[in-house]
Amino acid sequence: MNPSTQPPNPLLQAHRLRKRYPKGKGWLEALKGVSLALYPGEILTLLGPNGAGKTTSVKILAGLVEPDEGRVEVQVDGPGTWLGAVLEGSRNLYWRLSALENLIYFGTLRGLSPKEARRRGSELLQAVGLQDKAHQAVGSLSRGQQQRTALAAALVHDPPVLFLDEPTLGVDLEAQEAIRAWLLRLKEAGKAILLTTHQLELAEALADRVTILLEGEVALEGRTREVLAGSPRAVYRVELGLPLEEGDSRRTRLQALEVEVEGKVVRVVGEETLWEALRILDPLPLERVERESLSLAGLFWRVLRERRKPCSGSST
Amino acid sequence: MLRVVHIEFWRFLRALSRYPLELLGSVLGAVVVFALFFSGARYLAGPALFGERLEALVVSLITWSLAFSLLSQIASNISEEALAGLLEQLALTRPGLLGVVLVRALLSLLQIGLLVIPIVLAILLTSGARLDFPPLALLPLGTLALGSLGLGLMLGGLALVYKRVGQLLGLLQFAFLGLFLVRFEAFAWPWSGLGYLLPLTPSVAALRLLLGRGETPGWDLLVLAGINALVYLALGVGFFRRALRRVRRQGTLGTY
Ligand SMILES: Nc1ncnc2c1ncn2[C@@H]1O[C@H](COP(=O)(O)OP(=O)(O)OP(=O)(O)O)[C@@H](O)[C@H]1O
Ligand SMILES: [Mg+2]
Repeated sequence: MNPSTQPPNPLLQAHRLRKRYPKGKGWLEALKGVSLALYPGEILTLLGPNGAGKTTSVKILAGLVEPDEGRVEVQVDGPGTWLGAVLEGSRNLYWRLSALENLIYFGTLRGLSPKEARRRGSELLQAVGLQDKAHQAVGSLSRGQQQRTALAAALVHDPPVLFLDEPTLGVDLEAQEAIRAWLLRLKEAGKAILLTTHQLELAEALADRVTILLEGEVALEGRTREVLAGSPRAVYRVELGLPLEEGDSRRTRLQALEVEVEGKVVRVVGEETLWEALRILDPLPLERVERESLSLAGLFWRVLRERRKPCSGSST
Repeated sequence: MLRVVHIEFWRFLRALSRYPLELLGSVLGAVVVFALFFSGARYLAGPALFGERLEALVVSLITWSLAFSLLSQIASNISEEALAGLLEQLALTRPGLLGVVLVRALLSLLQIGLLVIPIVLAILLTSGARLDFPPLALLPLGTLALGSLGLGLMLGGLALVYKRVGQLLGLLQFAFLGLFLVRFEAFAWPWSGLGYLLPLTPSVAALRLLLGRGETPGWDLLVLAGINALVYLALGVGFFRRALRRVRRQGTLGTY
């Protein structure tokens, strides 16, 4: 963690959260000391494979699950209403009520007057492109439309903090695009947003900060731009003027350095390795040497692979 | 608070307007059951069986249907919300889960109050019983409602933890019927006192005297009814809170 570039006041901070669930005769450690911070005007994306502890973290932050250890500090007022949440795996809405009625109901329970709730509700349904469906029972909407209604319901009382646990599950591409643009606008309006998703492109487009959870531990966290650029073991791509032949002895020497060779392209991880690889390649003509801009997806896979290597065979 | 009552009432009416037959079905069902019960019993046994106890029996049955409807509505509403996956969203509101449950109980009470009128009429018509209704009866009716609310919260707590309580409700229905039929007010002192420790019994006894016999019960019985109701209400609230805490620790509030 480097506190230098962070805005001073997080809206929400979680310190060393631990949670374990009974499993058979032993325990399942769902979270092993997870710390997180949410800042206004920023989207924090929580990534991780199934069972990593994302939903558990979100629910602890929302106060729906009690941690065994650790604490959550919230710098916003409003008991129960400082946050809006789209929770994973639950309906979030009354199927018997219409979309608008759901928004009016939850808006009022979260502190609006019914009139305000109706006005906000209509606006939000328009924003998610469901104005035509406002009066249709939620149970009869499609999966993606329900998900969009749930998103509107989470926002109806205009909370400063949003928890979105896989909000784009089952949502078609066009609507995903709309949600993406909308989340960016909400962020600009100063909301602190925690997003979990398995869609890495969505994460890439939205995340100001990223936290990767693996088996209940934070495997990597930081500002997206910094973790992508300043990751200590950057990937370099060397393009040769001539391909390296199959039988070439330099090929085996490079492979010993864990360098990937593919025709004219050589991929090297880390700066020292790059110099060594270049010495091996020495008299060959070079077309270009560049640092690969790493995508969030690439980073995610690398973190996953590095973690899996020492303790292989751990299945989820 | 008023807003919450308002919006809950509105939600109830909305749901009702979409599914009116459900409510109608439950009212008609209860009316038919009671009507059959009394006309059948009268036909089989003749008026001699009930004799002067007929009024007492009718009051027992009415109070039982009032109390049991309230507590089972609270518990089954929580079960339903668990099934629908809404408990977590309801917990994330200003009144919180307990607040929402209490407001809904209040509305249930109103609804049951209205529903019970046709049921009472059906019972009176088919049984031939005569009931008084002095204003003082409102007092034990109130304590009956409070006590049932407490029991409803206990069952609601169980519903939070175990999600399904249908079977338990079915069993309790008969246990309660038994409890309500016993006339503790006719027992000698130590036994009646012990009987009044059971939930709702002093309220039911007072109502039997007031409605069935037109007698005014002693103040001690009314005070006892109040204390009994408040104790069970407090137990109910405490139990519900503990259950909520427990499911939050287990992480099972939202699961079904
Ligand atoms: N209430 C519970 N009781 C027992 N175990 C639980 C409970 N909730 C979660 N777990 C376990 O804790 C671990 C973390 O679960 P969690 O739902 O947080 O994962 P996740 O990262 O959200 O996964 P996914 O990507 O599938 O949504 C899992 O192994 C899960 O089985
Ligand atoms: Mg999850």
